[in-house]
Amino acid sequence: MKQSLEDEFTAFVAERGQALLRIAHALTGDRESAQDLVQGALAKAYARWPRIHSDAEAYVRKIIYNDRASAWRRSARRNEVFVADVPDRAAERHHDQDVTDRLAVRDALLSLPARQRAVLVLRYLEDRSVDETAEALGCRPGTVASQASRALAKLRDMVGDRMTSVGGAR
Amino acid sequence: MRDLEKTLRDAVHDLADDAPHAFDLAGAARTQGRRIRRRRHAAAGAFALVLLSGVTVPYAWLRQMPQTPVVQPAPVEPSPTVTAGRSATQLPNFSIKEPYRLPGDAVVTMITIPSTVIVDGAETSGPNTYLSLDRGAAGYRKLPFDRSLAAMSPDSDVLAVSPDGERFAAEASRNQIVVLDARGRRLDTLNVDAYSRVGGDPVWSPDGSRLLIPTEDGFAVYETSTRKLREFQDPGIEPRCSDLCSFSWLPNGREFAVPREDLNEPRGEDIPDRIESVAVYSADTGARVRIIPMKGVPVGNQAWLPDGGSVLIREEQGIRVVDAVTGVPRGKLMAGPKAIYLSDGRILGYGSSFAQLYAADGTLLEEFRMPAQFAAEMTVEVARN
Repeated sequence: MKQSLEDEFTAFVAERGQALLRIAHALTGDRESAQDLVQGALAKAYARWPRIHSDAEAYVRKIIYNDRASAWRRSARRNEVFVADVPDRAAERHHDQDVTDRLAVRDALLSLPARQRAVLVLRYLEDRSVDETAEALGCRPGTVASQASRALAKLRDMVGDRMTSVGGAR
Repeated sequence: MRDLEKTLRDAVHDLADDAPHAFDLAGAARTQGRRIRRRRHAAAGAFALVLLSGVTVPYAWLRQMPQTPVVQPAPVEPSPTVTAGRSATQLPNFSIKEPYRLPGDAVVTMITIPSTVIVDGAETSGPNTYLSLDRGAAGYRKLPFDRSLAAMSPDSDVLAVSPDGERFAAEASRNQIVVLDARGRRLDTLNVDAYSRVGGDPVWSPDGSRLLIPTEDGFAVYETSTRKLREFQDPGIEPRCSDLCSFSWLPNGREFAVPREDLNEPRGEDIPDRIESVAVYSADTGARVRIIPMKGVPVGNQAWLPDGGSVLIREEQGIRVVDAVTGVPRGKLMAGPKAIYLSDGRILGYGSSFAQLYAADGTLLEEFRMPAQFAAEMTVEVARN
């Protein structure tokens, strides 16, 4: 690969690596898995850098989301029976209510299927529109909408009765 | 008072904030990325020799041999060398003035000569040179598809050739495939979200009437007679397509096969993806019509026996004949990286260095050494005459 492209790859990772790790950690909830996910995606990008460098971030993000979904499918059975260990609010009384709610939602979020979690990360971390989310995940906008709806319904089921207010949930 | 969505947004940001700090991501990705490139390179070009006993002889990574002089050769990683397992018959020299025929009434249809030089340890790629069989003139012509004509993307190295050698498809820019004639004239421009940048390349149907283009959301079919492009949605194709994601047409010219990765197998960047099956789609309706269990990827359009009874697939160790309906292996492991069915039902395995003639069950009949003019890094395409 040309030296200029090598330099461009290095600069891209330096500039965007941390942002990609944030996405990966939101998807996995695990530091090691997040690093593996990002490193794998960057490796694939490097292997095709001359062809994808003009749109590298979209390419890498797409791999991150798709690889995460694939990883989930491989262990789908395990994930399907996993039930979120939602913190007992009684044990958290000394915490601020907001923090308690956030912890509950965070744990519930990590128990969702990877595809649904990916939709929520794209929508709530990256503030992507439905269309943009669909493009990133390689599915139709309608699928994004239904996955988001199901994910929110699950979260509501898991943590709704533990939160002081879920009136605004939709 | 907080609602669920507000709390969810905070929770997602909390999770992101807990991400580890990036440490030498670029270096680690480079190492891993080079492994991926080597693997793809080896799969595409290396010629694994398989002895009759089924033992695989180590194969060589292709070395860069420049079209232009090497400025400063960089040290290459230690690599095993190809060993011709038995006495191989030397084939005559290649000449552009006549079709180059191979045993079993096959003919070389295309030669791609890369021009990659290594300067200060970094690969620098120039435009490929393409020599294509001109059946009318009974010789080879150099195609005028270099980057100066802007017919192809500067980053593109994909050139799909129609069976008659008269039409070519190349990626001109992102989301744009151009159809060209042998003189470099654009016959059509297809604006489609092509998938080629991550693996699948366009492929012409056996009769050259259709061009299949893997896309981000499924696939598209271009009809040469009507110049219409039909796009079909199946977002499930891309995530399950393997590293060696290549589509191939079935002999009927109306269906094509797509490999499907085995999701139950462990996955790593240093090992090839495992294949569990191929899905067969109808190019007429876009519908998936059946799934055939098999452990490898069909090695191109001519990998399918014309009667549709069996197919040649690439497994990790070589190429094998399997039943095209059940996927059950029907023969011995053969050398690769490419193979075609000959018109008499025998099989020709070939690379740029060797060719091997096999019986229908994969028994090696004879081995040939390709002309020395075909340097190891060249890509040679072969078809039934």
